[in-house]
Amino acid sequence: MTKVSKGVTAIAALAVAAVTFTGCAGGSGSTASPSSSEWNGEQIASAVIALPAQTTSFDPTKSASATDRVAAALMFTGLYLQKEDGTVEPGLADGPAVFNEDLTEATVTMREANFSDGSPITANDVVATIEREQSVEDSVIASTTGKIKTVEAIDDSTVKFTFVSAYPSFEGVAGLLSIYPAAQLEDAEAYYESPTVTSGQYTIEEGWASNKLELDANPEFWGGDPAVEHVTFQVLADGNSALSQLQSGQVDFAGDLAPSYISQVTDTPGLRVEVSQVFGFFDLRLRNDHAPFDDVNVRKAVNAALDRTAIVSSIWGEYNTPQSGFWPVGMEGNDPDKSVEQDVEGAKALLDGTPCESGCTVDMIYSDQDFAFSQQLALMVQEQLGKIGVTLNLENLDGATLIDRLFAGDFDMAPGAMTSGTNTPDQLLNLALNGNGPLSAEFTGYNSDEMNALIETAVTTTGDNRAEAVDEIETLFSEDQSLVTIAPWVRGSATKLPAGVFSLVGSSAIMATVE
Amino acid sequence: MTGQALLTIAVVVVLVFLLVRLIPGDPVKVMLGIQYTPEAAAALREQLNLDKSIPEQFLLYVGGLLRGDLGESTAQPGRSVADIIAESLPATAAVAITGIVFGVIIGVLLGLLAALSKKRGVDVSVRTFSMLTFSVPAFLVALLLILVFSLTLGWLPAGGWPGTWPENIPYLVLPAIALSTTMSTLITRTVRQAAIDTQGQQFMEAAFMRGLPGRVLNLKHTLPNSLLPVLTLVGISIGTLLTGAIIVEAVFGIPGIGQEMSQAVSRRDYPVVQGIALVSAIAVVVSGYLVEIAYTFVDPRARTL
Repeated sequence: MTKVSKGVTAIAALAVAAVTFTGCAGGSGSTASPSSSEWNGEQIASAVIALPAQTTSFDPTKSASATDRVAAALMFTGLYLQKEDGTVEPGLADGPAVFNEDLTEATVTMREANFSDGSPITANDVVATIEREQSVEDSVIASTTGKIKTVEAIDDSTVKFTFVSAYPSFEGVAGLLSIYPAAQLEDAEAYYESPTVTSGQYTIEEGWASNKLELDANPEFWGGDPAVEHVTFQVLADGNSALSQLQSGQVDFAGDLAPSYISQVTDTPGLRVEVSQVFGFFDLRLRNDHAPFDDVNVRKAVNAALDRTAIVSSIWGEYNTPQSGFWPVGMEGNDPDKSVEQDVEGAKALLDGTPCESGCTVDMIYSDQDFAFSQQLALMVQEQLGKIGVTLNLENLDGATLIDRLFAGDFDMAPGAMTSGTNTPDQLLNLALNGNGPLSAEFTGYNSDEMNALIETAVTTTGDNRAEAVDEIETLFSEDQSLVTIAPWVRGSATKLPAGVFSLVGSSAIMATVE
Repeated sequence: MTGQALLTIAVVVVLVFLLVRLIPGDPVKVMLGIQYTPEAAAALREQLNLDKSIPEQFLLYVGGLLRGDLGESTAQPGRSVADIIAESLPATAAVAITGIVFGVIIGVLLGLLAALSKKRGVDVSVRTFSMLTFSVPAFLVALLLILVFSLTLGWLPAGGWPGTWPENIPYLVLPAIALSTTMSTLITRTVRQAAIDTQGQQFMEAAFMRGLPGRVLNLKHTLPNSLLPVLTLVGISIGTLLTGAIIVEAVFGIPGIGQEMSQAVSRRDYPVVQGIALVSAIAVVVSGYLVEIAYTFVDPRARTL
């Protein structure tokens, strides 16, 4: 055989090998059709949903990752369910909760429903769920279950809750807690390793394997068939990887993408961008208890000097809007007319008579592990505050070190974010503005008796009283400016699923049902 | 040699144990996040033995190791470190082994081509190509491979890991190629030089004078002598491969040990970091042993020593 023919033979062999791999190559991991404008209502056979956050546990007292919460939202259901606009509707409850006069008790009547093994979901399961979650000492949902003083099964389908104090937001917070089977909770540790008995739209054969979770439609689910019969959850930590697999057809929904990846798919045929509200905001945390931000005028100057429009446009493009008040768009109290304009001259005027009158230097800590755009935000803020003589020393930390420094108050300024997760004010207020709260007003050290009293009114009243308190909180926030809001907290996703099939909402998710 | 290996592993265990605890950042605060309260933190710290002194924690850890217990993950409650490693190691091992195979095949072929070709242009081309691939970082190679072979040509998947065989095979190709680029470059240069040196030996001239055809000379004399340094390169590349696996696994979304290590460090999951470091140290030591053994088979001179 001549050298040329040997070379040709070798190339041919390589080509055969390539074709063999082509035949084996993983093409589309789903049977979902390319994105059309709206879902036609027919069930889709299967879909692959990719999320970046690592899973921790199925146990709600231990799981804190976004992936855990989304998986739980499909596998389990609560007394109430969250809609896309953040309001709630009955889930296992067959109607609104009935409160007593001072809102310290609520009675819920349950609909007829079964777990995936066919056993009925009763009030005893609700009691067992809540009591078990309250018994876990280091529970990550302690602040939610801690509001419930007692829970009692009046009969098989009626549950009575007694709260520590007035709790008008019960339906939209604790009411969303997933309900688990009492029989399985007797050995909770074993159950949560692989919770095959579920109360929601889907059930599983086994737990996570190779960063994948396979879900099958639960035939016992009270709410009907889900829009997708078989769902594969996949953890893809890298946004590039998620995007590549979305474009190659292996993945149908890539959730929680960083803003920079969203812009890459904007004009891609067959792909759709979805942006969902988380009912919170991105902000700049200012340490209120030491110079220079112990001076309210310096904090107001930072607020005035920021060009939020430029920041939002640069980071999120068309997929977010600037925010300068406390209440994000979509939440009660939001003022759509509140100015977000930059006012450099006004900021300079505010600095007169302050320690920053002739310029000052502050330390800003941030971490790319916190938000992928943290460095971009830090650089833009550095440039904008430089115009009013405030020099930022930027310090890029890893995520765990950042958390340490935040809890220790060892910083002047830090980008951050805070959310209620649902369209209720409770968590957002208690974490971001309550000086006696677990995060000391989002690490700012801000502690105002007047604000704390308004928060108490807002979370324990309803109707006009709540509305008034919410408005006064907005006013006082502008006066005290403990932190500087930038934009609503949104979650960006790219998908080829039709609109209305699956979406992220708040810190959870919604899978449509077939009519 | 066994004593040296055990000492190496022991030093790694102690160093990693101390280093992770020197890194700033509290695993309890990371785990609790916005749900942090002093009471929850205290309860969690006690549960994880983080309320004990460093020497006490070390003794507990070593005691567990001697019983074969690597401990339990702090960031993934209920999961043992052994389970996490057992689930993630096969993927990394598959990619790494395939990467080694690719690297050796490509490196040896290119090295021999450069050394044996009579055309100087071929030698220059191979060396230039090697320099280019050595200069390009693994993650960039990975992204380019995805762009060409997955998104443009549609020949191979863009990433992921089915978790079953033989379905994993097509998912191995691109990650293994990306991982093999640095090693194949080193092997190319080493084999090329070894082949040139061998060609210049007197016994080669003698064999040529006796009329042995070029093909026989290359296969029976040049190739075996050129492979000896490749063994050493493969052995010492194990550590580099494990490091490269972190990046390649991230780009291709492979749930391997690199990804677990990366997540464990950011979440200050001490037991998982320690467990993976221990496994990596053992892998490097064992690979060294295997290279020594392989040498005695490949090089007759090593058997008499």
